[in-house]
Amino acid sequence: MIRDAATFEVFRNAVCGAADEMAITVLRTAHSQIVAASMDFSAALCDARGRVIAQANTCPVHLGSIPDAMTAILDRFSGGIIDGDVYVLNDPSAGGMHLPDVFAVTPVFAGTVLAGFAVSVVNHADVGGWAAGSMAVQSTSIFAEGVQIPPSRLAEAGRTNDSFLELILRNVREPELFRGDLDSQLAANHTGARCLLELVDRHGTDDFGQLVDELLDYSETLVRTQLENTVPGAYEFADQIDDDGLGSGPIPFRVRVTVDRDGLEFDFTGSSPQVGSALNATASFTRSACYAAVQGLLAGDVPANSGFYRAFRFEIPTGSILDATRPAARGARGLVAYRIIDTVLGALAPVFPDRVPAAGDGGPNSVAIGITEADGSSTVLWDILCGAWGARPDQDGIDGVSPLGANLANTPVEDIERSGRVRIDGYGYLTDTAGAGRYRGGLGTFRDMTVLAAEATVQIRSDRRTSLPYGLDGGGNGTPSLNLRDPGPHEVLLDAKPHLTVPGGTRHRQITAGGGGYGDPRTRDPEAVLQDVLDEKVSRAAARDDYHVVVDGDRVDLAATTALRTAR
Amino acid sequence: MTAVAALARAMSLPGAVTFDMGGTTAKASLIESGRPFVSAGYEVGGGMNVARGLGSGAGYPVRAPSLDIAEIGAGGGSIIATDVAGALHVGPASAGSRPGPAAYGNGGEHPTLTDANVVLGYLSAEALAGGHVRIHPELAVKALAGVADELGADVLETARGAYDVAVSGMTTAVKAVTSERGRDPREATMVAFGGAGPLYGAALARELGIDTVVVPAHPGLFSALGLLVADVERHASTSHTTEHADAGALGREFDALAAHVDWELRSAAPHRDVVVERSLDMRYRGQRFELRIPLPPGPIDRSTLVHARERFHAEHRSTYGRRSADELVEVVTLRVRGRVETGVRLDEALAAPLPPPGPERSRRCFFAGQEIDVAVIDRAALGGQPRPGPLVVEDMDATTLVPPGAAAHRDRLNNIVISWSRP
Repeated sequence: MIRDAATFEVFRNAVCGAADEMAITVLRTAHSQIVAASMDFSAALCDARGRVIAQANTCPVHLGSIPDAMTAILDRFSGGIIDGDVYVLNDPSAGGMHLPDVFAVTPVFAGTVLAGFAVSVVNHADVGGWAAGSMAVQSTSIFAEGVQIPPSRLAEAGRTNDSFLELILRNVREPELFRGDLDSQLAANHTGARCLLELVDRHGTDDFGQLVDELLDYSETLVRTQLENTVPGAYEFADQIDDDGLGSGPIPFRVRVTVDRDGLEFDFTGSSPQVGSALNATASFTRSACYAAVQGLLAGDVPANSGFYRAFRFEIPTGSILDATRPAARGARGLVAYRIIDTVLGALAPVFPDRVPAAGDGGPNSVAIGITEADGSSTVLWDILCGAWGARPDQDGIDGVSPLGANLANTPVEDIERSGRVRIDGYGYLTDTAGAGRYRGGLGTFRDMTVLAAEATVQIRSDRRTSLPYGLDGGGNGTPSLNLRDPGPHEVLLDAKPHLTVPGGTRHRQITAGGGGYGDPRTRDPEAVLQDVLDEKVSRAAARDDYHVVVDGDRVDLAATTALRTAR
Repeated sequence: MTAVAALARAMSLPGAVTFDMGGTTAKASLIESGRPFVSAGYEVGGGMNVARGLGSGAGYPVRAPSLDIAEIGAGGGSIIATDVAGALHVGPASAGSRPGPAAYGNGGEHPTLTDANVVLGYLSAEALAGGHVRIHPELAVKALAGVADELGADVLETARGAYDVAVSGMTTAVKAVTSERGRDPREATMVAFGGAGPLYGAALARELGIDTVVVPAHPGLFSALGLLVADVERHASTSHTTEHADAGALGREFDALAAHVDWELRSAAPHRDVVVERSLDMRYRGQRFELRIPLPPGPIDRSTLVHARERFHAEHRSTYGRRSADELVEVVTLRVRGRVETGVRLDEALAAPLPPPGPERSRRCFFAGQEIDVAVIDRAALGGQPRPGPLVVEDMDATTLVPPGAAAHRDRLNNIVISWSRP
């Protein structure tokens, strides 16, 4: 219950602004390309019990990551926490998610009293292991993926444990980058700590605690109020990942969402056991993906905090791909989040009939190109290609935009080319890739590149080649994602998740999946079909075959269209 | 911003935070040494620009040099509302100019910040804009009563609550251009303008720890004045590639860019001096944001680049609090800016005599839980000696609020200068 509306709103602005300020510090100072390009980091303020007070809107699939990390830190250090300490961890079986995500936690003291914690998570460029970037799909054990950090004290009362830090740095490929990114996390935590102290100072300890309670209750109320308007029941859906990158598949995802007076329950019983490759998530990551899916459906701005979580319950089988057990590899678990979101949204489509879109591209295609330079140093170029959104209940799908689970930007062509090691030869949308429907899906995106270095390793993570983006309400599926070598008459279809060594001059094309359609395509406005034909988004043949619209020159042949659409 | 930059040069202000609040948005920026910050791009059509990086991506990026401005959806027309969970919100929805605030009597029913300011007595309950806009205070009260009922509070407390919420939102915009860039706002002077800026400037400054607020003459038209004094500028840039690795090649590229902007400016302004400045956008490898490092005039050799790297490390430290290893520094873009000064003097225009003041009057204003009588004067009636608040100063195009605890005087450029004494 909010006691004073103006005081509350000023507090909310300040505490959410503080989390954003932490995130901006990371964004502007971190070196990892992946931080800047994909917002793959998070920042949050917690209270002394480890509850999340505010989390910046950066990476959607980190939304539920902080509580498990805080539990792990408090389990290990509670009672011995002193001013000037800094804790770190990345161990997926003790509060982490996958090894590149390093958590840094700074306790904040108001005088001698623990007031809370500033927390940051950054996906580091490399944490060691056999493959550059530490996120290879083909890893089969966490011991191959890099340095594992259980909940640890990096600094004690302001003194950094140098031996510990040097041990970590010795195990990563680019120690300067790692150290720079860790420093940027500590700078962000410093910012957060300052803001937290200002708020405690301004309101006093008691009122601060009261306002935190109000803020958490506020988020819970906003979620529950919206759920009150939904139809109770159990809703099931299944989807899949094509393969695990080691030849096994498909990998099933199943969810049963129960909507009742207590909120939403997500039961993932029946989903795949953990897999042999690095496509394994933690329970915290699975919950995060569910939160991200639901946040996308809720109207308005619900502050991300521990109150938000209260309306959700989970049944996530231990030992499944959604909560793997040690020593499972986890590096490439990003794809798992995309598929969890697709599965959960499929189940929720009848619950939020005017909000849920058909399936999108199912996660971006990511291409890591590794080049060993003459001096022995290594360059890694990440080409991230986002494709289509599924059609919406009342509009076409969006083309070429980051999926809901991430905050990605397609890697700028200039960023890749300025290395002088790769040339981008083509980049655009492809005709007839959208799932047909009353509203069509977004179009598949392609990129052509030529390797200019003498030799390169190419590691691709793509999916949705056999398990196509689903349509809804009679809409068609989207088209598959493809990886082609030497596109043209002699093109070779590569695996969806290959790890290759290729000679200079190799040409490669990647194509993202097209989005699913919504509604019967034969009910699509013929003028909209005509416009797509004129824009070369849909061919004349597809207009006739899929939409039953006959386009003659630059206009719709209404008589022929009506005849086609009324014929049985 | 251009007008504030000119004002900052005329007043010799080392740092100025600009605060421009109109009918729908509030904008903040930072002027250092009389020059605005320029960013490499801007986003349009994506709503507000405040989160700067966090909120980006929603609009269409325009990769052209832009004045670096943070913006939030809080203006005089911003609508005051509650939500289902009992919180009080101000904006970003706006009543616009039609129907506008309820108090304008044009059919607006949603309470706005302007309505709150009428209820609080900060704005005239009779007319604004020199008598051209009639005010209907009873409509403002009626509009706010709905929100007050939902909150279980009285109308005056609700109006003041909305004022405070607006101030807290605007601190975000100012922090985006100061503390989030390693600049301490407390070392700057605030320049408040726009139709609504002078009503909030003093409260916002206090929240940020800024001592001094300058409200220039013609605050509602101040941005337009900036157009009259703006220099003519041309920019040229090119991406840094491996071909620029040696200093000689880099110098030749700069010469070509400089010759280009010089030619363009001479064709536009044949009889004026062209000033050309060169800079490098630099960053640590992997970063997405660059810092602009100016280069000294003269030929470019190895020592120029060594000095540029040193300046980059220093600038990075002052902006972000740390520096990294030298081998991580990379040059991203070569930039040249050519400038021709207009020669129009803003300070002379501002110092022109004001119209004679009307008589001093008074009205009831609500501060800190109670209504008190507050003197209302015209700008010309304010003298050179600080006069303690509370005080309201009315211009044709804006109203300046001097809260209790602050003091105001008028300087030689007819600025209202509001001072908070540090506790």
